[in-house]
This record gives sequence, structure tokens and C-alpha cells, in this order.
Amino acid sequence: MAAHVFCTRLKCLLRDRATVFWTMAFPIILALLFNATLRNVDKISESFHPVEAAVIDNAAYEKDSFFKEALNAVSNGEGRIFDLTPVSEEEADDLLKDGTISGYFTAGDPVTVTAGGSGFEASLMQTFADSYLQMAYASANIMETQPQAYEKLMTSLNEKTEYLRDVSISDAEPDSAYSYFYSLLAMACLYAGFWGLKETEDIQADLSARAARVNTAPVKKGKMFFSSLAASFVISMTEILLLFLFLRYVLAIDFGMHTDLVLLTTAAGCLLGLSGGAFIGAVVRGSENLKTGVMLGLTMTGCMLAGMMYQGIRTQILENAPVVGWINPVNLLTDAYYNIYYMPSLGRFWSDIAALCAFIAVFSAGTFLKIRRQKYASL
Amino acid sequence: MWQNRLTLLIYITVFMTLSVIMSASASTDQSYQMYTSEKTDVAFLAEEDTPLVEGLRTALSGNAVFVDVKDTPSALADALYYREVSYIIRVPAGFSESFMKGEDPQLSCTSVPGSFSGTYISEKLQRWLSTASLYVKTGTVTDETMLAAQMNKTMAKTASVSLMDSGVKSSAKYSFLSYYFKYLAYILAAVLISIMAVLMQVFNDKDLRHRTFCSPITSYSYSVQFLLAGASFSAGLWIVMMMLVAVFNGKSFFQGTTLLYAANALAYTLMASALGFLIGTLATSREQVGALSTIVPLGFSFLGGVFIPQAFMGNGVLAAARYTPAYWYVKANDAVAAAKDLGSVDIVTVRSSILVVLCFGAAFLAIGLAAEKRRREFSES
Repeated sequence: MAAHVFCTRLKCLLRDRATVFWTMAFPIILALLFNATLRNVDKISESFHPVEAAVIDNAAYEKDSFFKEALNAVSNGEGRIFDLTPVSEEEADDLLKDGTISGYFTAGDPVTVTAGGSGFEASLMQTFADSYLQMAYASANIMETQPQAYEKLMTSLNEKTEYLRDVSISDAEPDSAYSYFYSLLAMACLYAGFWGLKETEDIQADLSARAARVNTAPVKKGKMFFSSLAASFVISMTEILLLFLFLRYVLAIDFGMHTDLVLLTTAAGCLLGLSGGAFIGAVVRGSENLKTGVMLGLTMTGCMLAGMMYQGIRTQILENAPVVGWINPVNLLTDAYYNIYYMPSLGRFWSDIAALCAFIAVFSAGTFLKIRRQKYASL
Repeated sequence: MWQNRLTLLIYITVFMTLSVIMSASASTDQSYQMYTSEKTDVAFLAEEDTPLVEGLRTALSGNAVFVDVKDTPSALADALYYREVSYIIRVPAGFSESFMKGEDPQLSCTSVPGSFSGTYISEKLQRWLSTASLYVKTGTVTDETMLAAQMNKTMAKTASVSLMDSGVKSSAKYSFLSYYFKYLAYILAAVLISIMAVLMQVFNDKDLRHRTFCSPITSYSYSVQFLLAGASFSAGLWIVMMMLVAVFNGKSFFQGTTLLYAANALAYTLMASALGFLIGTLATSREQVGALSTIVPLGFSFLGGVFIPQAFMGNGVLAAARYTPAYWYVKANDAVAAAKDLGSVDIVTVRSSILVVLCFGAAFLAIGLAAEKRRREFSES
């Protein structure tokens, strides 16, 4: 009988095209929009590119061989920081006005930088000019006080000592755009609540005509409910897996090396969504629209606080009110995906999973207590 | 419309909350203001406290904002991933002693690979240490206090920097007002499309329609009355949203540029109403209206640059975005936001963008009316 209920319920649920749209097509459409707009934000806003700069090609520049050499050293090769063009002052002004260059250097005492505005490009030009002047001052200072150290000074000036060592925190790239997609997957998991909501609507005889009919059948209510819930779980898990595959293989969102843990998190998310939806369906008294509104309102608030619309909110919440992060299931799911992808250790991931399991237990127990052994005077 | 008051209230509340949070966060958010900032967020973790380390920190303070981050792998990973900091410097214990011996110790640095801020801070650190090493390796200084004194004098030598009005617009400064009006594009579209479309669904109900056309009013009068009702609601919503600016940010409201923001929003309001009318005409069920009134405003807002600045979008996306009214709305909004006052606004950009939005509205209305007429003719035949 359980298998029969399961199969029939599966067919019944799949015919609900509106719910299938909101739980599967809508997250995929959102993923496409995220991909079109958010995916390259880090790359465009942060990527280093050599600064377009000019130098005034006058007599002072030709005469100042040290400055010329220093500028050429940072304007050639793969690791260059400037794309340098020697031009006349008039040309430099024109290039700056039409935005072709970020600024230009003028040799002299001191070297001057003319920039089109503040910003990193202009600051980098200023940093270079400052450093050149400071190095020149230090060399002159040393020659004045320690003339015998000339050879050592020349050796030091010519050797290129590397004082910085790059250290990675994680094997993965810190691509913050991924967290928008993790939040989206978390949202899709919680949208399984639509199915959960439907299950309680269709099992409590005072809530829908279908439930009234089902309650008259000679099948135990528990068996009926859990078989139906299993059908909902299969559908929602399939939807989320399709979304995951779409994100992973079509949009190339990196979830890290632990696919097994991603699947575990997704399954926990689905169960959470289902149990949460069922809990709202059982506890909130009112129309179906009201219950859907409550569920959507809670999910979308969770998404907002987890940084799906704006990442800064999540950071500020974790700094100022970390407890809000722990009671927000969307944040727990997002954090679990993020930990799998980026964190060097998985300690926090398991804490997230434990918190998710606690939520599932509370919602399931609440639903069970609410709907068990209900009798109806008349149907 | 009254039946949808709860939806309306939810939309407006969420919108106001977002606008306030976003504008409050904007002043501290570096990731979206990268090219207007001269400083980058740095976590400076020193395992020793020496004059050399202090000198390094002081030298860096002109290029960095130091952020306190807990020194644990998890906290540091979080800070870098979510761009609380863009650069992490760790000074290992014994660094100063080794440096003063003329050895070449190294600082451990972590940054976003290939980032501008990474190159910027690395360049500063490397050059400062190279200059300091000249004094050490030539024997000019023998201890850290002497080195600090010499480096202080050396750092005082700086290049002269002059700014020139390049004519190139700097990125828009997102004040409360500009954020508010930017997000308004989403809220106006979401509310107006859903309400207008639902209204159309109600009026297109077969029985109601037949009853209406039994009454002694002409088809023209019916359409005009319907459109006027829609326009009145749209104007009412626009007025409410303008009043909310005054309530939440009275100071900003009385700026000269508010007039331009408001005119731009009014054009978008009319466009959104027309789009709602079109969707309501084309949709065949409430479910379709629900789906379209969620996806269309979201799609327009994402592609048009409401949620993400247009400057950070790829060329392909921007090319597609030009076919959405939100793109032109945001363009006008950014042009107003970039200006210091009313007189310096690029009025040509604002005017042409508003015109494009109105053209979109006219096109949506024309298609909607044509579809409506066709449907009426079809049902009458």
C-alpha cells in the first residue's frame, strides 16, 4: 500500500505545474541572471591590469637616466605595472582628457604626477614616484654619510631581493561571486517547503477536500503521510540535483572537491525545506495563500540575511549578531557549501550540518505532534 | 487593488529596509568603490613588536585601512573571501632581527590572486623594504631606532601630485538618494506589473467582461476609464514613494537633483504600468501572471544594473541590457548621482535616457492595446 500511495502521489505532485515552476524553473532562471551579472564582478572590479600612463618626453626626462631606467623597468615584460607612452605635454593633456591614460609623469626635481582623478591607478603612479624619490634620497643620503659604502650601495641597488612570500589560505580561489550561487541553491532547498506545505494541506481533513477524501481511505494516516512525504522528497531532491548539475556543469560554479559533502548538504537542505514547509502548514492556521506567504517571507528574509542580495549584510550580521546566522537555515546551508569549497578544514561545515539536523528534528517533531491522532466530527 | 494591499505593504517594507541597509553599508563597502578609493583593507598580523615593524605599519597607513581580524585560519579565510580585507600581511617572529643583520627575510602575504589591490600593496611593501635595506646593507644604521629615524626622513620625500579635470566621469557616488532611486526601479516594476496584470485578469474574466459590455458604455470609454484607473494608481504609488524619501532622508529630499531623480522615476512608473497592462493582456492565468510579475522585474533589474553597477558588467551583458528599460533608468540615475549639484548634471544623458524609457512604455502600451483589441474582436466573433 505504501508503494501504491508513493507512486500515485508522485504522479499527482508532478501534475502541479505551478509548484514545479517555482521549485525548479525559477531558481534556474535566477541562476542565469546571477551568472549574467554577478559572475564577473570580482574579475572586472579587482583584476590587475597595467596602468595606462604617459611620461613627458622632454629634456629633463632625457637627462634623468635613473628615472628613465626605473620607469622602463616597471613598464616592460609580463609583470609590468605601467603601459607607458612617452609623449609631449600637450599630447599628454589630450590623452588624459579623453581618458586614454590615467595620468602622466613629468621628470624634474621633484618628479610630478598629473592624474585625472583619485583611484587605484593614480595611487599606483604616486606610489611609484614616491618610492623612486625615496630611493634616490636614501642613496644620496648614504653617499653623503658613508662615501666608502659606494660599492655596497651599488650592489644593493642592482640586486632584486624579494621580501614578500605569497601564502595561500586555501587551495580554492577566493571568488566571492560563488556565494551568491550557494545562497541560491540554499533558497532552492528551502523552496522544497512548497511540497511540504502541500503534504500537510493534503493530509489534514479540515484543510482541503482532497485530504477529507484521503482520510476516509482505510490506510493509516502515518503511512499515508510518510509515503506522500517520500514522494515529495524524491521530487524536490531531483529538482535540486538538476539545479546543482546546471550550476556545476553549465555555469561552471566551483563547489570544491568534496562532491559527496555537497550532496549530503543538499539532501539535508531538502529535508529541512520539506519539514519546514510541513511545519508551517501544520502550525499556521489560515488560508493556503497565507501559509505560502509566511513560508516565502521567511525564506526570502533568510536569503537576504544570508547575503543573497548583498553580501555585506551577511558579514555585518556575523560580526554584530552571530546568533542570527545560526538560526537562519539559508545562512547555514550557504555556509556549508562555502566551507566545502573554500575552508582549509571542515570543522565549521560539520557544525552547520549539526544545526541543520537540529532544525529538521524540531520541525518534524512539531509537525508530527500537531497532525497525529486528529479526529474529525464530520467530513 | 485594495485586495493586494498586503503584497504592496510587504514590497514597500522590504524595499525600504534594503535601501537603508545598502546606503548605510555603501560608505564602508570597498568592493564596489574600488577605483574611487586610494586605500585598501589590510589585515596586519605582526608576531613581534619592533621599531621596524612599527615603521612598516606607519608607511603603509597611507595606502591601507587596517582591519582587525581574528588570527585564526577560519577567520582569515572568511575575511579574504568576503572581502572584509583584500590583503593579509604576516610579519614572522625574528623578522626584524634577521633584516637588521642584512639577511633577506620575507613577509608572508596573502591576497586575492591577480588583484589590483594585491599588486598595489605588494609594490608599496617591497619598495619600502628595499629602501630600508639600503641603509642596513651599507652599514649606515646599526640599530632599528636609527633605521626608523632615517626612514622617517626618507618617507618625507614625496612626489608632487596634481589633479586635472580629465572630463572622464568618475563612478557614481551612491548616497542614500541614489540607492533609493536605483532600487525603486525594482519595486515599481514588481508592484505595478503584478497589480496591473492581476487587474487585467479580473477584468478579462469572461462573465465579468460580458456583463461590462452589456452596460451602456462604449468600448473606447471602457478602455480610457481602465487606463486612467491604472494611471491614477501608478501616480499614487509614485507620490507615496516620493513622500517616503522625505520621511527617511529629509535632508537629501531638498537637493536640486531630487527633481531629476523623481522625473526619471515617474517615467519608469509609467513604463512599468504599461508593461503590467501588456503582461495582463497576454497572460492566460493567474499562475502565469504570478510567474511573469516576479521574473520580468527581476530580469530587468539584474540586467539593467539595479542590483549590480553597470560598470562591473561584461560588454555582452551590457549590449543585451540596452534592450531593457531598467538599463536606461539606471543610466540616468547614475548620471545624476555622479554630479555634484544640479548644474553639473549631464542633462543630455538624463533627458535621452528618460525618453528611451518613455518610448519603451509607449511600445508596451501599443502592443497591449493591439492585443486587447484582437482578443475583444476574437471573443465577439
